[in-house]
Parts: sequence; C-alpha cells; structure tokens
Amino acid sequence: MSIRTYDKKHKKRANLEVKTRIEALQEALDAGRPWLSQRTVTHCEQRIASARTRIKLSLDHTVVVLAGTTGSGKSSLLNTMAGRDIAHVSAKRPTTSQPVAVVWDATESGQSEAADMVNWLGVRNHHVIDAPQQRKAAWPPWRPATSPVQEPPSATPRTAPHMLRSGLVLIDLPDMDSLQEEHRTVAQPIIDRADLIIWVTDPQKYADATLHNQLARLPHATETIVVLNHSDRLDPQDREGCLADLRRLVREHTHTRTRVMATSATTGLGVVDLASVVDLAAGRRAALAGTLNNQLRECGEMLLSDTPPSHTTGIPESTRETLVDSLSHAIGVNTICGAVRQSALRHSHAVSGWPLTAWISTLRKDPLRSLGVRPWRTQGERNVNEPPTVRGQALSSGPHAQARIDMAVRSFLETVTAPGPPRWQEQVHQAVDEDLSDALDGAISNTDVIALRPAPWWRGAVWVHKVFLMGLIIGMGWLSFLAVAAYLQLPVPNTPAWMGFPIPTVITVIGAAGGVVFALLCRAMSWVYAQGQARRVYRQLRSHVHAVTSVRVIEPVEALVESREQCSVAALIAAR
Amino acid sequence: MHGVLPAALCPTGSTVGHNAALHDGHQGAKPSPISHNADMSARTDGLPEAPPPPTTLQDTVHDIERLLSQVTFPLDTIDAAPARDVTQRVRHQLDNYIAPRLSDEHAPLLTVVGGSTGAGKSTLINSMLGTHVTAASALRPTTRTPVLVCRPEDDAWFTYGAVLPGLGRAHVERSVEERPQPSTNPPAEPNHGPQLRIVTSERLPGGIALLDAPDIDSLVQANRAMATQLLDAADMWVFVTTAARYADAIPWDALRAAHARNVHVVIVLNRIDRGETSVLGDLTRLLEEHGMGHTPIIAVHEATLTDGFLSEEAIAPLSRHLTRTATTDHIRQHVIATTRDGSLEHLAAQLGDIAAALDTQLHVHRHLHDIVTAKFDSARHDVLDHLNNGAALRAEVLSSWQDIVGTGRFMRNIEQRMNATRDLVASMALRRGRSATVQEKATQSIATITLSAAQTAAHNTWFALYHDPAGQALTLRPELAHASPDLADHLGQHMRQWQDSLRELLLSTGGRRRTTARILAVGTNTLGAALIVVVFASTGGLTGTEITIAGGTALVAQRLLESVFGTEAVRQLASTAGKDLSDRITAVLAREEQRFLTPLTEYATPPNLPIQLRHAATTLRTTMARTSPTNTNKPSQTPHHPPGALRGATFSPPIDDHTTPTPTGHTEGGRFHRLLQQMRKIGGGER
Repeated sequence: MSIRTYDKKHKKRANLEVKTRIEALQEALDAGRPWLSQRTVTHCEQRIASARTRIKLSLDHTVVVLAGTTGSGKSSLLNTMAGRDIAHVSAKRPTTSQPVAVVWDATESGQSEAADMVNWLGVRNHHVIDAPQQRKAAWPPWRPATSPVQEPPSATPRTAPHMLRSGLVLIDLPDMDSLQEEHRTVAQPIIDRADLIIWVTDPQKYADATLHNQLARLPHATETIVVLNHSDRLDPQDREGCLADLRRLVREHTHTRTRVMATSATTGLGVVDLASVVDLAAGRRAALAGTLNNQLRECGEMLLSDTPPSHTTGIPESTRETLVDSLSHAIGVNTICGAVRQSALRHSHAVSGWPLTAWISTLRKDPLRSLGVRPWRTQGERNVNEPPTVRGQALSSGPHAQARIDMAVRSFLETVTAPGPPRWQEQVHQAVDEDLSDALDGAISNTDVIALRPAPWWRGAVWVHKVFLMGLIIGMGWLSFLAVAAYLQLPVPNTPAWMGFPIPTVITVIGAAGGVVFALLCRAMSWVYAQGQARRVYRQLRSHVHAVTSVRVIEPVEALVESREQCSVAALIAAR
Repeated sequence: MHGVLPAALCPTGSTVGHNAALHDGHQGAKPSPISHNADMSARTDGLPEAPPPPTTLQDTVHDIERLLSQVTFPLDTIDAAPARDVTQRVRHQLDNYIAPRLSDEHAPLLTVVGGSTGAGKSTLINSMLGTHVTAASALRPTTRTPVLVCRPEDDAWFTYGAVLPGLGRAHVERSVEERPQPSTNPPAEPNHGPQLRIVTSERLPGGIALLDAPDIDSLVQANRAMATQLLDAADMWVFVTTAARYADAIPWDALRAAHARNVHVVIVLNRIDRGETSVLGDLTRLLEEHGMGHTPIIAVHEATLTDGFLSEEAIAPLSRHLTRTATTDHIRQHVIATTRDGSLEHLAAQLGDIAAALDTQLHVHRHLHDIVTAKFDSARHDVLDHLNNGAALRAEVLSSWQDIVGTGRFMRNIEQRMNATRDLVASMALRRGRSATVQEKATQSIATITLSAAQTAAHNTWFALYHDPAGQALTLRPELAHASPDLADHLGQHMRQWQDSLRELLLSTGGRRRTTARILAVGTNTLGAALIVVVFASTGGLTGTEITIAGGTALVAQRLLESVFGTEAVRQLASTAGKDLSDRITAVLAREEQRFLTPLTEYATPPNLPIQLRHAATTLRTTMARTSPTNTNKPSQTPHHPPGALRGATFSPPIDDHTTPTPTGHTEGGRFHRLLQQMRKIGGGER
C-alpha cells in the first residue's frame, strides 16, 4: 500500500466501510453456510476474496474497462485515449481476443503495484504511460499539461495523454457478443472486477438484444458509462435522436444511474469529455470504494433474500414450556403421577386409617405396582442389578410414546421455524437428537423419585390411633367385665363416674368415636399428602424431562435459530 | 444435395457470369399474361377441393400437428425450457410454412429479408422496389410491423391463404407510382395481435414475394419472436448483415438453424467501407468453418443514399439474383423443394428431440411419484408393523384391561361356564365404563401412531420434493408440508366406525340364540375390548418384558372370547377385525398420499406421446422418401412468371470496376469460379 493511500479523510472512511462490509459478509456466510444455497455461498465468497485482494493489492489505482459489442471501436477508443497505437485495430470481426491494459502511473512503486493488479485481473500484456504525479498540474483535466512531452507523439495526436491522471488502469476487453464464446469468458471476470465500466456501442448496434441483456447482466454495483461510438457517422440531428433513444433504453434496462455519451474515435468527438469523466473517477478514487461497497452490498442483499430476518428473537419461554409439557405428557408422566397419587392415598389410608377398617384398602392392587414400580425405596436395594423401575419400558417407549414425542417435537419445531427458509427449516429438523425418546425414557425410568416418601405425621397418627384403640379396647373390656360380672351376680365395686357417666362407657365411646373422627381427619390429610406426593413426583420428573429436552432439542435448535439471526443481522449490516 | 445446388443456383452476383444467367432467366420466363392468369386462377380455384398428390404427406403433417397440440412440458426439468421453445417453433413452422407449402406447390416463393438490427433491410427492399414501402431510419429498431411485398396477382394468396395464419392482415393499397407519405409510416396498428402489412408492387418479378422481417436480435422481445417466426416461414432467406456485425453471435445462431434446416440462404453483406476487402474474405472463412461455404454472398458498399435509395449499381447483384431465382423455373422449384425437404427433415429430427424431452418429463414424473409413494409406503409399513407385532398394545391399555378382568374371581366365573350369570352381569354393569376406556385407549393409541406417521411422511415428502428441481413446483403449496388439518378428526371418525363395526361383527357372529344370550350377558363393550386386545396381541405375539405383563391378560381376553364364541370363531373374528383396521389405516394414509398425487397429476404427460411422436417422425421420413420424387417431376404445371423490374436487375456495371464485389464461397462450379477465386486472391494480395 503506497503512501498515497489515506491522504483524504473520506477515502479512509470509504475504506473502513469496505472492511466492515467484508467482515459482516464473512460472518453472515459463516453463520449461514449450512443452509445457504451453494450458488449464493460461492458468489459471496468470490466477491469477498476479490474485494480482499483488491484492497490489498492497490487502493491507488482505478480499473476502467472498455467493454462492448464487436466492431464498436473499443480498441480505437483505447488508442485515442492513450494517444498512441496500443491495441490492434482492424475491420475483421471480432478483432480483439486478448485484453490489453494501459497503466498511467509515474512512480516506481505504483507501476509495480499496477503490474500486480493487472496480473490479478488476468490481463497478460500491459503498457505503462508515465503520467505526472502532481495533481495540481493535471487540473482542470481538460487543460493540456504544461510538463514537457515525455512520449513521442503518435502519428495522429488525438488527445493529450497527460490529461489522464496517475493511477488509472484502462483495459480494452474482447467483445461480448461475437461468435467467439471464449471472448465472453475472458471478458466477464475482468468486468466483474472493474471499478468503472465503459460500455461501448455504436449507432448500428445500440438496440441489439445482446447489448442490453449484457448491460442488464453487468454487475449492478459497478458504475457504468455507456458510450455511443462511431457517432461521426450520424449527422448531428440523428445523433441527438440516437442518444435520446439510447438513454431511454439504458434507463429501462439498467438499475443504476448510467451516464450516456457520444464519442467518435476517428474524429475525436467527445473523447475529451469521456477522458475527463474517467479522469475524475480516477482522481477521486471513489469509483473503487463505491464499486466495492456496492458489490458487497449486493451480496448482503442476496443473503438477505435467502435468509430474511425473523420477526421474533430467540425461542419464547412459553414455547419451550409447551414443548416440555407435551413431552412429559407423551412419555406418560401424567399417568405415573396419577398412579403415584392413588398409591400414596392407598398407603396413607392403610397406615393412618381407622385400624379396624384400614386393612381393607390393602386388598386393592397398588396402582404403582401394576405399572411395574416398586412403591417403596429400600436402602439395601439400590445397588441390586434390577433397575428400580421397569415400567419405563412399557410406558415411555414403544410406538405410541414415540409417536407422541414426534408430534410434540414437530409442533414445537414448526412453531419455531414457521416463517423461515426451507433449507434452514430442514437443518433445524435434523438438529434434533434422534435418540430423544430413549433419553427421555432413561430420564424417568432410571430414577427413584417415583418412590413414595412416608409422611412424617404417620407415626403420630398411628400412635393416636393406638391410643384410641387402646381406649376402645379398655372400655370394651371393662364393660364386658362388668357385664359378665353382672351376669354371674358377682359383687363389683361401683364403677366410677365422670360427670354422671360411667367411666368405661365414656372411654369406649371416646375410643370409638375419636378413632373414627381421627380417621376421617387422616383421610383428609392423606389426600393432601397424596397430592403433595404426586406434585413432587411431577415436578421432579418434569425437571428431568426439561433437562433432557434442553440438551437434546432446545439447545441445538436454539443454536440454529441464533445463527440464523446472526446471519441475517450480519447480512443487514453488509447490505446497509 | 450440395452437388446439385450450386449448379442450379448460378452465381448471380458475379460480374461476368450474371449476364448469361440473366439471359437464361429472360428466355426461360417469357411473360405471357394470358397463360399466367389462367394458371393463377386454376391454382386458386383448385386449392380447396383438389386432393393434391402428397396427401399422405399432408396427413402425416396433420397428424404431427395434432400430436404436438398435446405436448406440454409441465415439469421444470433441465431440458424443459429449450424443449418448450422448440415445440413452439415447430408448431409455428407447421402452421406458417409447412402446411401452406404442402397445400400448394406453386405458391409464390416467399423470400424473407431478415438480419440484424440496423443492417439496412428496409433500405435494401425500398431500393430494389424504388418505392418507400417500409420505413427506414437511424433509430432502432425500425421495422416493427413486417411488410410483405407481392405482385397484385398473388395478393389473394397472401391475404386469404394459409400462409402465416397467426398474423392479422393490414392491407395497404399502394401502387408503385404513389409516393409515400413519410408521416404515415408506420400505419396505426389495430390493437388485436401482430399484423402483417401487405403491399403490392408491379416491379416485383412473378413467383416471388418479399417479406421485410423485424430484427432478429432486436431489443424488443416481440420483434425477436416475430422475426424467428417469419424466418421459419421462408422459402428463402436474404440474410442481411453488415461489416460491423457479421461476427455477432445471434445472427449466427439463426444461420446455423437455417443450415440445419437446409434453407436456401443468400447473405447480403451490407455497409462495407469503401476500399475494405478483408471483411468479405473473413466472412467467407467463417462460413466455410460452419460448413456453409456454398452460401452466396452479395456485398453492398456503404454509400450515401439518394432519396433514401441505394444506387442501382449497389443494388444490382441482389436484384439480379432475386429476379433470376424467381423467374427461372428449375431454380425456383429447386429452392422451394430444398427448403421444404430440409424443413421436413428438420421437423422429423426435432420431433425426436421433443420426444426425448418428453421422455425426461415422464421419467421425472415417475421419479416424483415414486418419492411420494415411497414415503407413504414406509409410513404405512411402520404403522401396520406396530399393529401386527402388538407394540401398539400399550401397557396402559393392558392395565385397563386387567382392571376389567380383575382378579381370580372373574376367572372363576368364566370357568363355571357362567352359571352365575347374574353376578357377572352385575359386575360387568359396574365396569362398563372401563371397557369403554379400553377401547378408547386402544383406538387412541392407533390413531396417534397413524397421525404421527402421516405427519412424518408429509414432512419428508415435502422436503424430498423441495430438493428436486422439478418437484419444487409442488412445494409452492406450503400446506403440503403438514398432514391435512382435519386428519385427527378423520382418524377419530374412522376409529369410532371401527368400534361400531366390531360391535356389529360380534353380534353377527353370535348367530345362535344361546351365543347371543351370552354376548348380551357379558356385554358387547367388554367383548369388544377383549377383541381389541386379542387383535393386537394375537397376530404378532408379544416379546421381551411385555410378555410378562401382556401375555397373561391377553390370554384372559382370548379365553373370554372363546368361552362365548368358540375357538375357531375367535380366530375368524380376530382376523376380520384386524383386516378391517388395517384397511382403514391404509385408506387414511392413502388419502394423505393423494394430497400430493392429485396435484402431481397436473404435471403428468401422456405416457405414449413420445412413442407416437417418434412414430410420426418415422412415418414422415418414409412418406417423404416415397413421395418427393413424384412431386418434383411435374414441371409442366408451373405457371409462367413475369420478370418484373427490380431496380438494378438490368444494370450492367463497367467492366473495369475492381471494387465490385464478387460472390464467394462456391466450393464447386467449374472453371469460371476457380478463375474468379484466383482473381480475388490476387486482388487481395495486391491490396
């Protein structure tokens, strides 16, 4: 990079802008590579690579290409602008088959840079014209330079070569419409890398379909000048008409604001104007930054059209919760919790029910056992080979569970990816772990949370029941003793009374009624206990499911959602 | 064919040879108005009813037209776009050229003047006729409405004939004497479709008509299409190009196409700078490279126009060539026959291409069809597998069933051959709700599995189609990515119907009164539940851990059924019910599959169309081989043609004019041409 770079603030800014765009584009590509179409990726990568090389090679040279139809006088125009016969001119069509470059540069380093760049552009031969480096001397551009003539003037000095400023690389390209298809393949890459395109046409050809197809296919980003050459062949009135017509056509077929000029390489008409326009572009060096920026912007827009920015950010919490809920339901957590509740009720009844009737509830089968779960955890059994539960096999695997899991996951993915590019949607679908159902199965079957935890009040309740039972027994025994004694007419001491009621009767009544009432109380407490157990099991199982789901579903999906957002945000920056 | 052609087409543009040729032409076509008119009337009268000799050829062409009307390329295969263009062109050519040419052998030779935009076609025509029949200007594209110039006698043929039926006719009555009004060019066109302006001119030699075509490479799409259509309708091309653009790609594509069809082409190289000679040689070289070395080239120099016309000298070679071709019968016949045969040959070849593209369509359609059916087949297999191996019989269902059958008490009841029927009824009455639950759970399980399988299949199919370039048309319907929204309801309905049918099945199986009594005693719901359990458990048998849970209870169900119906009947029942279920599931999945297949039928191609096309091409070739010699051997019917008076046709150049262009490219043609070529070489060397 030579010393002339960054001599102006706006140039520095433009350069910075190019670099920002390159970075953003690269980021967008890296993020979106898995789902972006191959064509987009290749196109953008080529653009990035060429922009990088371009700013590394030289920022002081402006590449101007003369492209156009065969026989329109590109080579003559080049010769006229260079002021000497460089390109071969002939009436045979097509004439030019290899591109020729002319470099205006006075400094050694500039010339070697230009040589590198011309080489990078794929142009084999180039000519150097020592242009005066001093800017002031060349201003205004149409005034002939005052410095002594360095080049021997060609046979017909048509334009002063020095009005073209230092740092200009002018390339004469093969035609774009002839029988020789290889000409197009030679010219196209150079056109893609040019900073300014001069499209040369002539009065005969300006309405060709080819011309305008090609013009529409030119990189939109590049500044373009359309030149109507051979305009000396028309009389002035026709020329104006032609130019107006051409302007209309160009406006219709190109996207950018394109300048249209009339020139004649033979009479020199309009060449000075063209040269000064080219010179201005080269002087500003804005053509380069502008072109690079536009090209990168175009790539950004291409990426954006592939990956439109989504309206939502991330995965909303409610969607995740819905997924976990439906997955829990799918693998039968609800069924398990129902069984846990039933089992806890049954056990609690058995323990804390009225001892005289509590045994009846043990006659019914334990719902947990019928699911295959051992309801009580015992310390010694933890290490036994048999897993603590076997029911998982039956509930959370199998086609039905699998189907429900699939449906839950699919509905989740469809909610998350609803308005997205299809290839990305597919990526998201593939990101979900295929072993999800096994993992979920493992999450709820290799756990002992399903086992019931004894309620702390059971012991007390048992004691209370024992007391009431004792009272009942004592009272009944006393009463029966009294009854037997009375039957046998044995003398018994007076039964003590409490508030006028005989004590044994009171004890019996209290024992029986208290037991029943307390049993009813326990029933209510059992209900609360069972609910608590069920809720605890549900919470724990759900948290297990949540953990598995997070790792296997949500996180990979989230990563893709994020990379999509990253891609579209970066593309937005690049396309800004 | 080339051996014959140059001999017939004498080098009309040559400085030395053309005089003799011109004399031949004059002698061959002595104008005789009476006989000519008689011939003309005979021809026009005989046109509708007289069955012409090549009936079979016409029939074949008619067949081909009929076949081509069926050809569409609905799928976007790789070769679909070019094939559509080819088909369109072939149709146009059949309508515009082949059909009219076959209907009348002696219709005027339609010469289309075509070429690049700005090559000066209109100026050439105007100059030859000495009238401003078409507009010429510096603005491009100039000619937007094609102009047909013919003799007044031929007016009827072109106005009412079968030529170019797709174009409307705008008649311009203008005699030669009338001077054009510049402001009226071009005339205001009516809005309906493309028009063909017909202008009559007495200066034209008889038996020929000139058509000023729009640019072949015009910016205006309609112009391009029209130009192609007109060139395809031509008996002879006058291909106008210029020194600046003779190497352009698009005109060369057209020339190659003409060469492929063996159309008779004359190239006019217009606007050569004075003193420029290398261009002509270069064009000759290019022509030879493309195997068209025999094509006559007529060079016209860039010159100032006087009154909008080229000088007589400049236009002379072309005028002479045209006059000669028109008035010399054997040349005229030869040109017509060559172009016609070439076009028919080319038609046969293109039919082959179209058939090949149709084959691709068929293959791709088959492929897309296979994608859909493969996905849904695998879905169906999955579901039926789950049904058959009992995996759908979930633990929940079994445990519900266990709840029904309860403990040993129930078994005892059964073993007592239901003596205590009353007890049983009571117990069943209590558990009726539960047997309903078993049925619900079981059918729900199947419904869920089917639903999920259908969704997966729809999803997979959609993406498989999305990745197929031709299948993407289907994926434009985003609703296809999911199973149909009412699928769950639909499945539920089917499952309810299945349960109902089970009940009916049970009742109809229990024909005997005693059995019916038993059924009523146990309750159809319970029996239905038992039957479901048996259906799921019996076919595949349970494996692994499930056997411990399911085996016993399934056995209970079987026992229960057997106790009611007997062993054989139970087996019958189970297989009938199972078949009914799998039929229903298949039907549901087939309905989902149809959502893809129905739109796919819109992209179908009749399967026998390619074969028919190939067959038609073969028929065409054999018919041509049979009929063409008889066709050409009828010179007696040819009408006489007046020589006309094209400008420059009688112009005799000064002998010493070196710059007068010579026609080139005659690969053979006797001493004279060799001499000429040598002269040209020597001349080129000097310069």
